[in-house]
Amino acid sequence: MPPRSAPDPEEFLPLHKDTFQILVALADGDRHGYSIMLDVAARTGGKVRLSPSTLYGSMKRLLEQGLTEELDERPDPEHDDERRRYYRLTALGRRVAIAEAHRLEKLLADARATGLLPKRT
Amino acid sequence: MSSRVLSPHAEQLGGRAFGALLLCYPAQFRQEYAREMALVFVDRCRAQRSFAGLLAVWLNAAAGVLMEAPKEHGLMILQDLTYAIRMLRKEPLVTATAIAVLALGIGATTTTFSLANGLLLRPLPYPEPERLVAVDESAPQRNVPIMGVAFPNYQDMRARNRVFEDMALYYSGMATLTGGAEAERVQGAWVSDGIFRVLGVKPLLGRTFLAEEDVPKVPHTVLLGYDLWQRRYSSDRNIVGKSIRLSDEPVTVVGVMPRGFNFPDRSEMWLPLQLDAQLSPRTDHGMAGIARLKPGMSRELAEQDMRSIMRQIAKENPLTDYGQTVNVISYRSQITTDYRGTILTLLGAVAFVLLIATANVANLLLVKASARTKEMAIRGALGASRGRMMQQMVVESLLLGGLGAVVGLALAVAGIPSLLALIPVDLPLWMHFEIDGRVLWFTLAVSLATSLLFGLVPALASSRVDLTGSLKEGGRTGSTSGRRSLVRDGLVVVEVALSLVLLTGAGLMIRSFLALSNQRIGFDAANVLTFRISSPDTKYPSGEKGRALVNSVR
Repeated sequence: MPPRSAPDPEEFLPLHKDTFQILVALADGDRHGYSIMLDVAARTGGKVRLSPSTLYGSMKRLLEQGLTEELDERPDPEHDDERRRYYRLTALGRRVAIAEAHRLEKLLADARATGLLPKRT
Repeated sequence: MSSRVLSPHAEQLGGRAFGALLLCYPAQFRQEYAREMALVFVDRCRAQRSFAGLLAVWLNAAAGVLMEAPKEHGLMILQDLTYAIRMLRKEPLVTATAIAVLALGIGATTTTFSLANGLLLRPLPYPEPERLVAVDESAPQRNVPIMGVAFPNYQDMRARNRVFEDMALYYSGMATLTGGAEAERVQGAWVSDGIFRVLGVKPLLGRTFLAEEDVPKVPHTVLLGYDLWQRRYSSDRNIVGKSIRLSDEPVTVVGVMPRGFNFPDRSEMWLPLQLDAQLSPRTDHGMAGIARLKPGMSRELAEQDMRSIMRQIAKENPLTDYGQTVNVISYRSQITTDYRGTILTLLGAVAFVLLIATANVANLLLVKASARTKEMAIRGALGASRGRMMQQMVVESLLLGGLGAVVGLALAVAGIPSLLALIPVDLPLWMHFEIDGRVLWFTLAVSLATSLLFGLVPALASSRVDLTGSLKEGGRTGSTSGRRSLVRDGLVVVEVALSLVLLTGAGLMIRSFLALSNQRIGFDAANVLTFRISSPDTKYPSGEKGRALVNSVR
């Protein structure tokens, strides 16, 4: 069998807004589910509140697509419950999140260029 | 913590309630994530400082489950379906055989059901057809179950009953249209004036008969059927009021009936009965009665009322009507009596064919399942539950059944016209045998039931895998395969038994047919032909002229 080439991050775009929020939450460190929820809520000023169903539904697909992985070790033994599972962004996940961020940036730039949004001073 | 809204015990209960809600998810998803989801949920509840916040968490969580759980089910089925397609494509010969066998079974069943549907289930082409009843006299004491209605009795019944909106009489026959380039024999019906009110049908052009046209010795009138109007009169919209010739007599066209109206069977024209009650004895029972029940009136009550009226008539006319009674039966059942038994027998026979097909496919899948023991063992070793593996197998059979149904439906669509061509008599035109919504639902139900039937046995057999045994022995021996061969043997026995019943039925049918054909009819029928000629009264008024015609033909 020929070696499988690494998937192109563009193939995953556009990401669902909840999926993107989860990837961003994992960008600065490994987290468990509740921690991801808190991070998303804090960053969005409480506007995005992921339900457990949305979180774990998205997480299942992220794991299947290889954008995140489950950790064997526990990075936070202090405040730990052994039933919790921790998740980490994979290299592919990071590239996909960056590609999505660029895509959003480009959209924003387009909106500015056409005068829809005020130009940055 | 003092600022908690709920006590730890209540929190735990909430977590359990949420856990119960997670039962909406597929088992595999639950196994993987339910515990953690409940944990996160309890965490979120614990962080709330007010009941309103708690309520918001609950609503958010419940809405999430209701939105996401169906999605997970859908994704799982899609995954199973993709896998099933791959498995079916891997063994094209087995797949094609199974689809062909199923298509034959489902196709035969669908074709027969579409006949039953057209005959017994589709509504008759009249408004509120369930209110139409056939009225017939009978004389049980003289062992005459069906005798038709006598005209004077009809007049009494029509005048005295309280159960019908209206009642009418009719009989069918042939009439000769003359006056054109060529004379044409046309099937027609002689009807009493109320018949179109009873049937609830309005003419396309002109009007139907007036009461004063249904009396003796008035100028003759006629209503034309749509096809006849198109064929012989080139859809002349000014035909109403014109005179045409029927058996060389002038008749005025009063209207044209809409397309598809061919009451009672295949009539193309309608003429008023114009009977004279004085000249029609109560013993002349040649006609059929039809009536429309009043709204809300039941057939049984109508029959009671009609029977009491008939008792009065018999009392008034003991010489002619002694011991007679009336039967009121639903019009549909009256016109389908002749076919009902045959169709139901045929349905029974194809059900057997379908069962044989099902057993065949089940056997085929069982053999295939033996070859897949190892695959199942590996999947089991990787953590797939028995339910999950069974679901996969059932999805495969549903896919197979679905494909069989599609091909079977195509066979039925192609087969119905050829089957109808085999029926030697002209069927009434109201019978339509096309594939309608009801037939499609039936096919869907049949293919679903069949799929589950042939899919469940192999699914049960192959999901019960002895992991180590199968992996070691390559799935060729051991107790599982022993049990499987027992099931296979059982299926073969069922198949043979069903085939035997079918063959016996078919053999008996052929024997009765042969017996009927060989029956002595009292004369030598070899090389004997029959034919009819019609001699209208206007042209051949006396017996002498008629005899002369017969002699000239001879």
